Amino acid sequence: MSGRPHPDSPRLPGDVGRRLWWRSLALQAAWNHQRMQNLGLLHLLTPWCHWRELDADARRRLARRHLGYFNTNPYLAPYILGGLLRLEDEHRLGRAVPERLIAGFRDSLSRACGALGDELMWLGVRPATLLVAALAGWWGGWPWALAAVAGVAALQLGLRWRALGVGYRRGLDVIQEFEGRRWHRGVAWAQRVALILTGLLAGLFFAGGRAAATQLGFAQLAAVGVVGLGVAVLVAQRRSGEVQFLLGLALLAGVSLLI
Amino acid sequence: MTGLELAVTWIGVALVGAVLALDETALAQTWLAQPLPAALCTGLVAGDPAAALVPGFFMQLLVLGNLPVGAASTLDATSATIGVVGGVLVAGAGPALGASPLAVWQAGAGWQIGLMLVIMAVASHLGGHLVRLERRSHLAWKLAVYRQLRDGDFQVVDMLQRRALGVCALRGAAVTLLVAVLVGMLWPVGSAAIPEAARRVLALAPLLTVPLAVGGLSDRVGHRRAAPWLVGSLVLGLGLGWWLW
Repeated sequence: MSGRPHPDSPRLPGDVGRRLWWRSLALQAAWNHQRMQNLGLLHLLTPWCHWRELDADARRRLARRHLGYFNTNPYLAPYILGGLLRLEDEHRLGRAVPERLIAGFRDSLSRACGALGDELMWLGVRPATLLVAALAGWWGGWPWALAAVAGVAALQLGLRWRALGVGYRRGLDVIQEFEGRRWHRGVAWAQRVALILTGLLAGLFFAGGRAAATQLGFAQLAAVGVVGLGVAVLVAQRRSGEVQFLLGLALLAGVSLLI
Repeated sequence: MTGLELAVTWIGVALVGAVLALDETALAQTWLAQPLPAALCTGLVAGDPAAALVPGFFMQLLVLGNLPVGAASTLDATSATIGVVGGVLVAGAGPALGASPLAVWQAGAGWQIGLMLVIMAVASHLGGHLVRLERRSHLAWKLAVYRQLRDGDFQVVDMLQRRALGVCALRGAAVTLLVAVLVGMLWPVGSAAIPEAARRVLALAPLLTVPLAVGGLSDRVGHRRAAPWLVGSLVLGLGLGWWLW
């Protein structure tokens, strides 16, 4: 769909929608410590400015409204971005949408989506996807591992496209998308799946050591388990996996000398 | 490998580094930049994706508990993985790595995977400094054109975004290529010079990533919530493995 739709249109025209979606993927390109994703948000507004043919004064007011702090989860961001554009449309047409409401919508929904999206995507769907890929690669070979990640990538890009449309169609009511317990149930189950796959992979791997007739003794295996779990539990949230690994390996070297 | 094949492979590895550096945070975040798929993409370019599976598998477990959100300290596991896997494959060590994660139970493959993981962890840590520098430069650029931004000059915003994406891709390509060339040149001599005692410790390194993944994810989710699911599935996995093998 292209051309010039009616200003009240609850749908984004195809070419504008595609440009907005593409730019929404680059929300974090110019991420900065001071205001985080604010430049990404302004970048996303550019096609909308062209579509609505804003004059210099309207562009200035728009930029000043959205130059402040903005940070949310990039996977749920299209809901906010779509809703924000709809509110900007209504504000421009002189409806009862004050600037304060737009800023309030952006800030409150970005916090909610940030917390929800981080729990869902970073601690649930991401580890689950990569563990499925690891197990698929182990059993079926490398094409299955790559296919698993590529499949989820295609799915989440499609869902982000849909979320942008839903956000624009529903405007302020997009908040209702996050009502109820289904998102929280989704978070809980995504994390459970990730935990189950982690445990399953660990069990299969250590059972495989017996089949591979490893030369390692029980004391060495116990040291690996205790050091790995100990380092992860004691320093996990303060240090990255890389630092934990190097620290754990140094400890293991010392323990191996003693054993 | 002839000189031309080598040059084409290095260019391919650098391109994978550029594209996946973008995917890691700046553009799309599809998770193809995570260590396992990144290693496989590198293997495809270097001509041996099967050999890239095992190092990618263990590096993925190593960073499973990392949480790359907001202002959290960011490292550069993507460039490190691509560089090390690319360098080792170009050095011709692919066949020694094995095609299944169980290969690390044999000391011959285990210590080589362990050495790769150590280099990846160090390179990721060092690359993280560049990522932080790049992000600080975004702020400096923004402040330099702040007045234009406040006045609604959206062309400046587009320019800043394009510059940020370009620098990110360049950083990814440069770090990846540097690590790959260094590893490719030093691997044959350096790995042969590692003493037996160090090899025994390095052989434990891939095994260490498994409890690190379990502990790291449990810590993020909450030990009390995670324990029943982890313990139950661990027992199931052990039983299944015992029955299968």
